[in-house]
Amino acid sequence: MNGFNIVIKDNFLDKDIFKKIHQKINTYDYSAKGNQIEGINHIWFSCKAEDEIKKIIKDKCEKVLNKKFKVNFCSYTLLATVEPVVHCDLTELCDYQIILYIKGNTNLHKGTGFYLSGELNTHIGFNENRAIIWHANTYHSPLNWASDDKSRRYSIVCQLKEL
Amino acid sequence: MIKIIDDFFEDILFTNIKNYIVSEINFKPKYLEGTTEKTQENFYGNRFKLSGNLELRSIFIKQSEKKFNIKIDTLDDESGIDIRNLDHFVPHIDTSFSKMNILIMMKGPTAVTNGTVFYTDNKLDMHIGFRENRAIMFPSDKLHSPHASNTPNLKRYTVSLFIQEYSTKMNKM
Repeated sequence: MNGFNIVIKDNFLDKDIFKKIHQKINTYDYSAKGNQIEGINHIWFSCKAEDEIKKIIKDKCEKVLNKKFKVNFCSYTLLATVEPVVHCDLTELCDYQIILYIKGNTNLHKGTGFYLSGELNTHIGFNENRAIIWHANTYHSPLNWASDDKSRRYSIVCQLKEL
Repeated sequence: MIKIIDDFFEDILFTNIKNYIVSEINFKPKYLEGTTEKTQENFYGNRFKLSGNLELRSIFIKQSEKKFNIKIDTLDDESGIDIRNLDHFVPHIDTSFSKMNILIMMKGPTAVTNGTVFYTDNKLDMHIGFRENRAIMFPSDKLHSPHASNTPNLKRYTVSLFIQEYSTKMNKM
């Protein structure tokens, strides 16, 4: 498959869990260490999510996609990117990827863009508690570069291997 | 929940259906639901109702069931093939027809400014670009609109399935 396989789900987490994460997500120590894409400067800062959160995200994704997954990694992320960084994350450890927007300004231009043949084709705005799940062969980029608002956005990113 | 799936049909079947739609079907002018005046503002585009070709209707239903893992129990008679009017945004919902929409992009230029947009709290917050052979499934109460375009005489062929009743192996969306 070469095209998109994308699911967008608002109100992804139950209110109580979302609130708990929302309150804490800007209190962690974030690091750029290990967040490298070959040939591209680091673009985000992250902090490993707790096992409890990892399991909640995995279970929700399994329910939405009706598939079973093993989690490759699950991290809180902090982003303030000003340049488009188009890439895909398909590896032998990652079949699907999810980004769950946790804290930031609601904005069409602060979400995620999806690309076809190097051209921006689809963009999904930032909205707290919105999840986007896509097949890992899809080229994408954070969209902060398209916004005048350069404020930080906090999310959870997970990579999932289909079992 | 909104689902976007590319390569909805296999290549040969898609090409055959697209050629048939472009060359064999007669479309009729369609105006927005609830409007009586046949003005440019109310003009939605041209539509061919799938009830006029049950074989084609069946192909779209079966492929939708396969790709979205649902069983379509009742499809509204307004379901059809559209040549959309793209000169202005027309935000609307389709709850008078259905619970769930499936939009299939059949013919048109690939572009972010040629697809479908969605609104949250009345603010535009998603652009789903056009790509031939892409299908989008979304709840009928989600405010949406064809993307307006400045390109004169731009034609975009899409299929809209208005699903009144459906069931799924997964949880309801």
